[in-house]
Amino acid sequence: MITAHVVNAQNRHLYENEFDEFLRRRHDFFVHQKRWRPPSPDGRELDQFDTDAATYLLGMEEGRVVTSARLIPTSEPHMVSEVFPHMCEKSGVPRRPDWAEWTRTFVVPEKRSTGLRGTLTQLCCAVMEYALDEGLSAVGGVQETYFMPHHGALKWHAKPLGMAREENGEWYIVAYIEVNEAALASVRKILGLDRSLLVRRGIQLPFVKVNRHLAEVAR
Amino acid sequence: MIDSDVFDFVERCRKHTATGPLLCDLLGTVTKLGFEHLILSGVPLGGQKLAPMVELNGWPEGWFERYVEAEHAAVDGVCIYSAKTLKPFLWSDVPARWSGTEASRRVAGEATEFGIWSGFAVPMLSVHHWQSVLSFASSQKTCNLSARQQVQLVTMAVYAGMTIQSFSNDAGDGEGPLTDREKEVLLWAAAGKTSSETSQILGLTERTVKWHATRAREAFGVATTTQAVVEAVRRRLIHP
Repeated sequence: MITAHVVNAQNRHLYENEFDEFLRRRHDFFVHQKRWRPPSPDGRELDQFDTDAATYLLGMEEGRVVTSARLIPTSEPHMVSEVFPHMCEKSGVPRRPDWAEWTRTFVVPEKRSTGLRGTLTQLCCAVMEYALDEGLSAVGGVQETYFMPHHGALKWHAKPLGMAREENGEWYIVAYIEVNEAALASVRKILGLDRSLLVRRGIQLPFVKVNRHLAEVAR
Repeated sequence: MIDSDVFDFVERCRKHTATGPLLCDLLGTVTKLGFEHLILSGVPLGGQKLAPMVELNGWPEGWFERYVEAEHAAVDGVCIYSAKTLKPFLWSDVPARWSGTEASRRVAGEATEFGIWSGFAVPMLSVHHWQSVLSFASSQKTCNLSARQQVQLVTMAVYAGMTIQSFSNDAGDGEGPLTDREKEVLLWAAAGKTSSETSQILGLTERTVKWHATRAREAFGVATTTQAVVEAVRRRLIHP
């Protein structure tokens, strides 16, 4: 079972090695396997959305980064708003601080079991736990249609913001998963888990900054 | 078909809790795109039996039985190619290596006797099988789908696939629709035993065995014990 470390701009210095390993695994996956991105001479994959607005969940097992997620508030520039806005013809591009775009998820090859209790489901569980903790309403973004049934297997509800579409030979859809207690409970039940997967070290930033300001005003 | 038909279907998927109504709904919706039949199934590999992998069976009466009995899955180019690609495809685009064999052509020819001439298939992840495929069939000689219609079809296929996965009962035991005793009774029925034989095997009265079978039929809302066996296998509650 993974532990998912919450890494943001304030505590990244505590994760120098892990973060570097994460960028190398991203390069393995998004450059060499998926061929979505051109090779980088330093063997690390970074894009324009790796800013201080991003929060990462690094899924660690036996001291290695085996899986990951990057979460960005949709009120900030994000992949759907900058690259795939045309895929949101039903609902428009989301612009809400409590809707997080979820990108940059991979699972290292040795951990890609097909079963429902594998590393991918563990990561999903960690993302849902984090999203609930932070008071988010939805997480999602542009996703490969092929993998959408996985959400169904977790008994998660994903709203489409537009139609599925073929881009560069692959089929994608922009969809957002509803965040609620039931969604966390169902994935935990599948994993047979009754505890947190999250690890928070160092300074923690609230994901939804607007709410924090509102809370301060209310005080 | 207009886009809102697709999003209405997606919305209705949320409310479906059983395969029958989902199948009817999907069939009723894709008729507008010229598809009269469909099947959603795990893709059989290496001689696996197709029947237990089927999730939604909207094939014409008689064709499914013929297909299974003749073990067409092993030679049908569409079925073989469904295991080899992750991308949606027109049946007519299956490479000749698989669709051009004599056996595959024979399957395609037989299908026309049941009004199936052309089709479109959407492979998807399955948590139980290698992968699954939702295959739509049409009585038109060729599938004339516009780019927009393909987009609509793929979107509906993906949501149907998600919904089917949400029906499966992976989350823990103890909360399934069947008790252990009911499963046991269905397993012996699947092995061809009568209630009387099952009662001797399990050391129960025949009346009790019949009662468990009745409860299993009620759990699935079906009329016969055979249907209950099929449903229990389909939901992976028993593994005869």
